[in-house]
Amino acid sequence: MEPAIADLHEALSSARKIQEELDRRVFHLQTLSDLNSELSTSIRTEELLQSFLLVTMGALGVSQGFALVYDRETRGVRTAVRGLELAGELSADAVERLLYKSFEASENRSLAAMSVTAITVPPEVFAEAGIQIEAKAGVMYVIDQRSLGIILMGPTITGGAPRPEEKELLFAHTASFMVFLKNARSFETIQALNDDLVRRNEELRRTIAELTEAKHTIAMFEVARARIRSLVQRELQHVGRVNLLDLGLICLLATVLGVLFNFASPQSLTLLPETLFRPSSTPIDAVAAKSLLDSGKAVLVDARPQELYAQKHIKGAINVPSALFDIVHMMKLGNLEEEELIIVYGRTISKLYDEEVAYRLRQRDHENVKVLAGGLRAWESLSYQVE
Amino acid sequence: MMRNWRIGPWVLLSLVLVVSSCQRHQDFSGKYQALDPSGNPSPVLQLKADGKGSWNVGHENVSFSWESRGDELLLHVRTGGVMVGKIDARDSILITLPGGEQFHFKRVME
Amino acid sequence: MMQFWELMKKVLTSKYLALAFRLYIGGIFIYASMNKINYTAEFSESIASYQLVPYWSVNLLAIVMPWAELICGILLITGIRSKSATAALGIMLTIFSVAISFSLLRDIPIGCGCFSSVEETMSWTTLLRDVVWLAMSVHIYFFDSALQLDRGFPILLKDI
Repeated sequence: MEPAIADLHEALSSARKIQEELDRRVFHLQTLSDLNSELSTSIRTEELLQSFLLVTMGALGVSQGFALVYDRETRGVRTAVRGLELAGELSADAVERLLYKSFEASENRSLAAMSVTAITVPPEVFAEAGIQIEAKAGVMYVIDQRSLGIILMGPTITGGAPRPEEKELLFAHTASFMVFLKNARSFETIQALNDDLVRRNEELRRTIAELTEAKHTIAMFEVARARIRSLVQRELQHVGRVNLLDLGLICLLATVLGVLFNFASPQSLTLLPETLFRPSSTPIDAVAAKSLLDSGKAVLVDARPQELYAQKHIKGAINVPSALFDIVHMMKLGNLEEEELIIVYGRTISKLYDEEVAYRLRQRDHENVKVLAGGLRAWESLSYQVE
Repeated sequence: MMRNWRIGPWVLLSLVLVVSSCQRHQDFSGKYQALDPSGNPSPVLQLKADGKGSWNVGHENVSFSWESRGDELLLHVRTGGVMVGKIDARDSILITLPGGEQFHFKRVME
Repeated sequence: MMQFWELMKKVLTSKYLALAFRLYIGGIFIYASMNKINYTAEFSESIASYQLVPYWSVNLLAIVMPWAELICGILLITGIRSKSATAALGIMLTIFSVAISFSLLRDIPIGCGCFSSVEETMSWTTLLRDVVWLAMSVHIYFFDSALQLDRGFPILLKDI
């Protein structure tokens, strides 16, 4: 009976052990399931790292944890830590060194894609990189040639190292974690590609806008070119030919320049003769003039230029050319009494010399100025004396 | 090249004309008094170096611009007349008024 | 003998002779315009002394004509629109010649006012001089082709 009871006890205790083992396995499966459902809520690497570390540490019952993903292409380092402080940002170089050391210390020295391998790295290697962790378990995982990483677990809450089943659990968690990381990376790649596409689209849009504008400008230049061409061609047709427009332009230009310059000239002229706008002087006929002159009651002034005076003039006339009036008046008529009658003559189709001189005489306070009607011709027709 | 060659002589000619006309002004500028009044008021000619001048009788005067051409002195008045003086000797100008009266101007020191 | 005439013909119709005339006539007109532009009032007296145009138009002519001479002279020398300029000068020279003829026939004792308001009383030699210039203008009109500035346009056109 005794041995049978002993056997029964043994069987019972082993059944309990199996029961405990089963319970742990169930718990482990439970955590794996938790991990999967936790990780599936995120597609961002940083969040995945955090979630993974949290769930896995809980499952293993450890107080310190460290997880790292390294992207060899972009030399990007992403880490998550719990229960410890990093001395500073991990540089890509430090991470590469760390990974190399871990690879050397790994169990099967494999870099196969989606592989997880346990590592036993001396603690000073981590200390050198600034990670103060008392690693009791560590794995290195390789997602593919591009991404790989390390996961370190500190001591358990009770102070010991994780048991082999728990190390297996770490492997399983890591394997699951890798799948999500890979997805996250794919997503990030797609995101980056999308961003790039948007940027390129924007660039394209701008380029198209610029091109359209350039096209407009070119079209404008084309029009201008054609216009200049036709202009020059038209000009060319005029070269070597007489053109009424040219003659007109010459006249117009001469008129404009002449009128403008005339305003500034010291000898400026009014556009129309001033005599045109003045009232005519009192006329006197040749017969009356003759008698007045003969009796010495009047002075006769020849207003024409001296050449004409020299050629022929009424006998006794004083030559006071209108153009030289100021000087000649001063020299010859300066002593004349203001009330003395002055009879002026001399006009042609082109100039009313007599009216001009009569006006200037009146301006010089000669009150009694008359113009000989008919001038020299009337005088001659009466056969009066000329010389 | 051709254009320069074409304009060149004219630039030179105008320069010569401008320079020479400037020099002539200075040769004759000064004050002149008519010599033989013969009962008429005695006029005084004032020729300034800048080509301006005036014909003075008593307190009356007429301004003009003047230039010399060969042995002739031209007095341009504003109203469009030209009085021609003949430079018959150094410092001596003979001016004939319309109608024939002659005035003999001699340079006087100012 | 034939060769001599051939040569004469060649010389007389030469574009370089036309060029020489062009520069000469252009220069004369520019020179002639200077004094008139400076002394407009005197030029108006000169025009009036011909007794050909009505008195209200004298001042206008005196203001405009010298500038027309100047512009034509410049166009002629530079060779811009020289054909039109020559025609304009030809018209002016014809008018001057007719005016001088009239004055000579009517025995009006005036200077021609061509270059300055103080000139020798004109005579038949004055008319002859104008007619010679007119002949030169005709020669320019028909034979001028050398050194024209606006003939440079075709080269310009190729560039565009």
